[in-house]
Amino acid sequence: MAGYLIRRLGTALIVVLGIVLVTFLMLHIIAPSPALTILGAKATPAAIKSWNHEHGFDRSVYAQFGTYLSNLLHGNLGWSFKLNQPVTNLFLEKAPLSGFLSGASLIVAVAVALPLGIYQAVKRNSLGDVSATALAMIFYSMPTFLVALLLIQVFALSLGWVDANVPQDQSLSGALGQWWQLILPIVALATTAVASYSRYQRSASLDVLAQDYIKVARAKGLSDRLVYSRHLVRNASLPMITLIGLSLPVLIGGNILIEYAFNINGLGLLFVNSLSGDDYNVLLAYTLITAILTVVGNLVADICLTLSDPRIKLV
Amino acid sequence: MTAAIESPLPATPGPTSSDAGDITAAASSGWKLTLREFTKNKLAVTGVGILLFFVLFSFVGPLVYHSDQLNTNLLSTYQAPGGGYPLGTDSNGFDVLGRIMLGGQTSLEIGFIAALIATVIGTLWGAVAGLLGGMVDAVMMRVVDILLAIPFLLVVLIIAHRYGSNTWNLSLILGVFSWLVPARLIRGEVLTLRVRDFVSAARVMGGSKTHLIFRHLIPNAMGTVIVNITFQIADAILALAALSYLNFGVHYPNTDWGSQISDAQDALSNGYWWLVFPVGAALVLVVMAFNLIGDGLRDAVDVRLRKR
Repeated sequence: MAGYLIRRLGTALIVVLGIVLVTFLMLHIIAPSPALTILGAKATPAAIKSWNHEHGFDRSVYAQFGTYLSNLLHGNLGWSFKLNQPVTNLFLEKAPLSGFLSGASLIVAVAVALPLGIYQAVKRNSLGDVSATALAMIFYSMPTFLVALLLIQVFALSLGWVDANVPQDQSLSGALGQWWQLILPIVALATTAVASYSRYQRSASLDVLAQDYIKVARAKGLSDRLVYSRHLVRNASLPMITLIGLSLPVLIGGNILIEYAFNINGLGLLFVNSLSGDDYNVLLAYTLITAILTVVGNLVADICLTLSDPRIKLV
Repeated sequence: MTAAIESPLPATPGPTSSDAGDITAAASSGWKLTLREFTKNKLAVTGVGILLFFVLFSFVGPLVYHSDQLNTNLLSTYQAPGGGYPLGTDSNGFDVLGRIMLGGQTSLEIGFIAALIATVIGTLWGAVAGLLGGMVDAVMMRVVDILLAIPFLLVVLIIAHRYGSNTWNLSLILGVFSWLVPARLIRGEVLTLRVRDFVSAARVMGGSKTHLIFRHLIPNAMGTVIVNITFQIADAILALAALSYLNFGVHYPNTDWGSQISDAQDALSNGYWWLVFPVGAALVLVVMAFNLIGDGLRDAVDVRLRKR
């Protein structure tokens, strides 16, 4: 176990370093210097040159990467030239709300998809199973933002239960003061996730139901309830752990669309706004953090999987 | 094969004719079997039907149903469905039905081209990594791991913002960043194929690596490749919709389904539902059609592999 952990951590570290290099190079090739955006289209070449010199953009790529790397290790994500403040501060300010959205929708999605998939497998080909499969197929093919617009149309505009506008407070506590306004964004994010999770959960449960130990459990005379709760649920839930680890980037991508659709002042909206403002340090930081979260998510998922399933031997 | 060995004498009355029949059946049974299994799958056939409808709708539709998609008509904006406009008009006075046809062309074209690019790159990368193995394989797959960890939507957004906005650029951007999953799939397939006897035979006969890849490995992994391409198209159409929803897609006079939804979302609160939901339904139906076809093909190819 310890050897495996060390090796996995080593690979993860290499992957993270690779990510840092790739994201840095990508942005460097696309936009060697933000000078033109900062100074405006009418800036003189001399002004651009002196701005580049002042901010270190005229140095070699290696030197710039070195500075970037050492800044990163000190927890410094760079300076947002558009918003005139450190990116780290911006992120600390906006991360709680975005994190809450992702986390809450993930919990809702798992809480719905897990029982739903198991129910579908147990009642295979029943009316409930067929209609759940059909709904999953539709929502699986629907972009997250369209789910959001559909929810706005039904619950905000037609029924008038909630406001279509979400609180503009960018702090989590401020937004939670009007928690009911966050229901639609969370449901929109969760719906897309449920559509894909329940498909996996259903097929995983079907696989487990065909196993010999289920037959043995039934042959022993256990009631259906005991067979399902003791033998089916635990074994069929294992793939979900891997799936959650893998779905982090999708979830964060969804956050961008949802925050844009509902005009929520979180990291996703910051990313979209920074795109049009060419605020590359923000883009770089967001891409990097998401990528590192993905690596960590996969690692944690693998470790959780081995902890919950002794049959998986790590070598 | 074993059956042929166990019966040294022809058991059938007409040896020559039945032998010939058997050989042709064996030669073509693979893909015929796939097709037969596929056509038995009602959902998959429905998917083909939906797809055919939208291809005709987008590419032949404008020839039958004429509407001006170039000149704005500010005297008839936001007309409700009915009258001369079956699906109403948008904020520029464009006919919505004609606009959905025009947007469908872009969405389908970019979906196809992007998926093709991704599959070609992914297939080659996976086949080379799988065949060479060892250090080369390890390095090539770590590259895939690294790129796979970087969120697709973020990268594509950053690059599309800089270089996007026409069909070819967007296809290239979406294609170049989505070959990772096919690369993994094909590598897995090649790892099992390369130790099979016919590949060893080809190698012993002096076949070069290129020959092995193009004549033996890729043709035998074709089932996986084709199934993957269908899902890739669905994903590319969705990704394009996300890009254009955030206003980083194609621009006037061109349009695609995501941009149309994006342009119309503010109009939703004014009750102009026809600007969002018809085009949304088209988007969902087309993506669903590709997913259904992909599911059907996967099952059919699976059956073929099992029976072969």
